[in-house]
Amino acid sequence: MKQIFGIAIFVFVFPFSVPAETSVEGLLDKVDRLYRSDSSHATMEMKIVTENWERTTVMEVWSRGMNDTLIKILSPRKDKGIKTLKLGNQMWNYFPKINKVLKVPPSMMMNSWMGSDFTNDDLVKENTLAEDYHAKLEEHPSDPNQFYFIVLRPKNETVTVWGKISISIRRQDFMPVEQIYYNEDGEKKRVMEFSGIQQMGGKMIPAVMEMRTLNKNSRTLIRYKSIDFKPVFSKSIFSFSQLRRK
Amino acid sequence: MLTLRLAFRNLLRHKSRSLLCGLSMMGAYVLFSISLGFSDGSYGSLIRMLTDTHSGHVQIHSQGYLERPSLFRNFILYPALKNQLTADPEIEAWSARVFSSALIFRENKSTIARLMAIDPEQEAQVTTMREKVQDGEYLSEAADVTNPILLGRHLQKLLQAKLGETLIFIGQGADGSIANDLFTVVGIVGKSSADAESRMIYMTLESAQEFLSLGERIHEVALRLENYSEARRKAAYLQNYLKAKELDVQPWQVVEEQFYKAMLADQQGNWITQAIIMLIVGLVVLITVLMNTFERRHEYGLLLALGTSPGFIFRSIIVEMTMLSGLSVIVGLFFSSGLNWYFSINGIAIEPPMEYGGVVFSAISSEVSLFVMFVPAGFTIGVAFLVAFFPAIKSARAVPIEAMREN
Repeated sequence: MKQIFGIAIFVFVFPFSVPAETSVEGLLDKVDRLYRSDSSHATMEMKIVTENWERTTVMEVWSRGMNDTLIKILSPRKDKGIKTLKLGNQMWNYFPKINKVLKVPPSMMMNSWMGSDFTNDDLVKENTLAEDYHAKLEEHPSDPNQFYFIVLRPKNETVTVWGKISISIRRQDFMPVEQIYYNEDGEKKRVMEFSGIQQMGGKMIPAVMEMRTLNKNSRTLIRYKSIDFKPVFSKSIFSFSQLRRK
Repeated sequence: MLTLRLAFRNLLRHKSRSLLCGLSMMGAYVLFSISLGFSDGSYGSLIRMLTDTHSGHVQIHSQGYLERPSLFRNFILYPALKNQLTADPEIEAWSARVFSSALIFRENKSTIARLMAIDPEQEAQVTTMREKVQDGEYLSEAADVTNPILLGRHLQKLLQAKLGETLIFIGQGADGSIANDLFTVVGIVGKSSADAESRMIYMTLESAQEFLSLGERIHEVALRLENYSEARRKAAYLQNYLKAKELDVQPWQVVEEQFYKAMLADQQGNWITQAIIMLIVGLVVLITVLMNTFERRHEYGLLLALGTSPGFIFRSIIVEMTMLSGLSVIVGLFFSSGLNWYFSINGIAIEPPMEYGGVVFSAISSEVSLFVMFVPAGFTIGVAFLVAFFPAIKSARAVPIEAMREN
């Protein structure tokens, strides 16, 4: 995600655009260009459903370039004003009720972000897939005529819990459809599905993403309500001083 | 009847000998009774200490909570259930509780602490919560403070927090959100860092339900009964009465399983001590009976020579010894009851206090009960009755001329 957490995840997850060539590098590169602009501003709704509870959160997300993202929760009332700032590969959370900024330590990177099926690590590393993984274009296991199938395996030096990530991309418009995360034993652990492809902010993007954590029987649905790829905002919003401002 | 009268007359005939024998038997009985009193009293006071300070006698949880406590294993205490608990004459008081943990911040210091949320007034009727406050005030006395908390002594030292200061709490909400709020220290609990409550933070039920996004849900209801020994029966009754499959009603023996098992194991070991005391009591009675009868061999020989039947001799010895032990026990009852009663109130302090199954034990005390009074009584009389058989048979079968020569 570049811009928003959602976008960030999306991008991190795929970098898809309309590639002229269908090499892995080409696909990843084109996708990068499709979702990454200099900045973005979006509003999205995140619905989390678990065995024990269900919660819907509305968020506003700003992003700048590849590295900087600010997420602000608009509702529910109890969480209103909570912010997450990502600068490079570091993250901070701000809680207005207690007026405190907490840095997310490395030990908590695999913890859930705001109770969702996305981890803090997902937010931080969204733009490093191509760098951290060996990508290989393979034949799609069920419908090779309709989809490209990219398999990502971590490089030796990459610190990750995933043994493999696979991405299915529609051939007709290069839109991502599904992304599956496997552990080191090859077991499927998480599945992210993309849907609701539509024109938003002047681009065709999947407006809905659903992440399911299989062993927890939980899912997180993110729906973009609006997105602007040419927003106007001060660069200073990606700073600690601005983080504490309402 | 004649045997009884003669036996009684024999006891009065040699007053000093009867008194000496009676005192021996009485001493043995009192020793056994006090030993049992302290044994039962100590376990009783341990149980009371545990149930009075924390667990209550019976607890209600959501199914599975006891095995695997979780923020999400909660339930709503519906008005019908509240009314049932309040109306039940066997339930003296009940208190709803919520448990969780949170990261606590004060300036540049932080720690993780366990939270227990209570209704201050209800909790004070179930446990000694109010008495745990060493500094500051109890939660219900800080009504004008937003989000008041009682901070454990150990945590207070760790965070260097003072009364009136505000601490930052961050935890997990029951709706998956990040729970975060400010809480004000109104009191300090625990006398020392070693106390169980010194690592706890207590807050009001309302504050915790808001902080943890629990709504009206709770994790536990603790009940106080008139007598802790009724806990199993009452828990079974409530489980059956509630007919709520999602609720689990358990007595303190299950709730504090670790403590209870340790106590049972200790009780098993304690019976070895009791067996040794019983052996001592038995020997004292045996010696007393033997002394009492063999000293009178000459007398029995004379009776036999005068034509008294051996059966009568046998019966009179048995009855006399049983009667003597019975009288000794009756007199001993006053002494043992008095001593047990005294020690049940005053106890004997243990310095330094010892921890037992997670409960700090600072004194041993006795107990007055039917068990403590009548089991030693039955044992003493029974032993006297049995051991009298040997000298009774020997005296009844004695050759008169030989018996008369012994003196």
